[in-house]
Amino acid sequence: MNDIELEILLRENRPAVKDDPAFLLEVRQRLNAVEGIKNEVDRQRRLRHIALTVTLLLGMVAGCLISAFILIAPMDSIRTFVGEWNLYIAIAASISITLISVFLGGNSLLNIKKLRL
Amino acid sequence: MTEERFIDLVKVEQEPLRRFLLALCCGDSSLADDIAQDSLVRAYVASGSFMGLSSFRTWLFRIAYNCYVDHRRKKHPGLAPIDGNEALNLEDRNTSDASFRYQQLYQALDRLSENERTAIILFYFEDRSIKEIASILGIPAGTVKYHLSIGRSHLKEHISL
Repeated sequence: MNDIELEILLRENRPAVKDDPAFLLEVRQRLNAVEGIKNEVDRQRRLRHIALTVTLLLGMVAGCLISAFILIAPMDSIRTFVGEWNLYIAIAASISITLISVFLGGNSLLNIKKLRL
Repeated sequence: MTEERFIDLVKVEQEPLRRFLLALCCGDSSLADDIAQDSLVRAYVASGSFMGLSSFRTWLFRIAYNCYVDHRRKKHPGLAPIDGNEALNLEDRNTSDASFRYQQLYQALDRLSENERTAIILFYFEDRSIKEIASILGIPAGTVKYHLSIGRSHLKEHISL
């Protein structure tokens, strides 16, 4: 058998496929299922972001209130409450928490905005 | 890509895709359609990454080929050939002589290596160019030519007419 005979044999015996509407119907059903899963995943992600943002905003408010209390309240009363050296550590910690909360909260809000787009 | 747009493209491509997989599966039409369904879902999920660097058909065939290879690896970890009896599930073959030649051809195709068989099927059944076959298989064009040449020699050895 030479190359031409082989080529003729192959081309003559090309598999026959009939146009099958059931095939397309099944494809459509599977794609709908994929869409459903994608929507559900998006919804869950959005909810997670909202929950995270609310938590961070609450943390930020709490941090601000503590910082304000530390800065505004009479020093003697705070000193007696937290101790001489612990005062500076408490101020530094509350400022750090506030900054981190602001950063993470802003980041979450940006992510939610991206999801909506 | 929207679902409707994707379905429109699939309507055009479903026949060559199913024919390609049917030939790869040596005539097992239910297996070929299962793999075609899986590959279309995979293509739809990845449709956002389709950059249009190759044609939609080439991109789809590449995904289908990868699905087929995954399926073979899962089902036959040693890439054992499909049972020759599966090749009996073939359509539109009326005369016993034609049926015999057809069956013999598919059994011979089944004995080729994965790359040789795919190159032969794409080249002779789907009329794809060497460049397109290279893109589908993810190998250089020279290697495709080599697989075609070796595949032809092996087919001639296996087919006794």
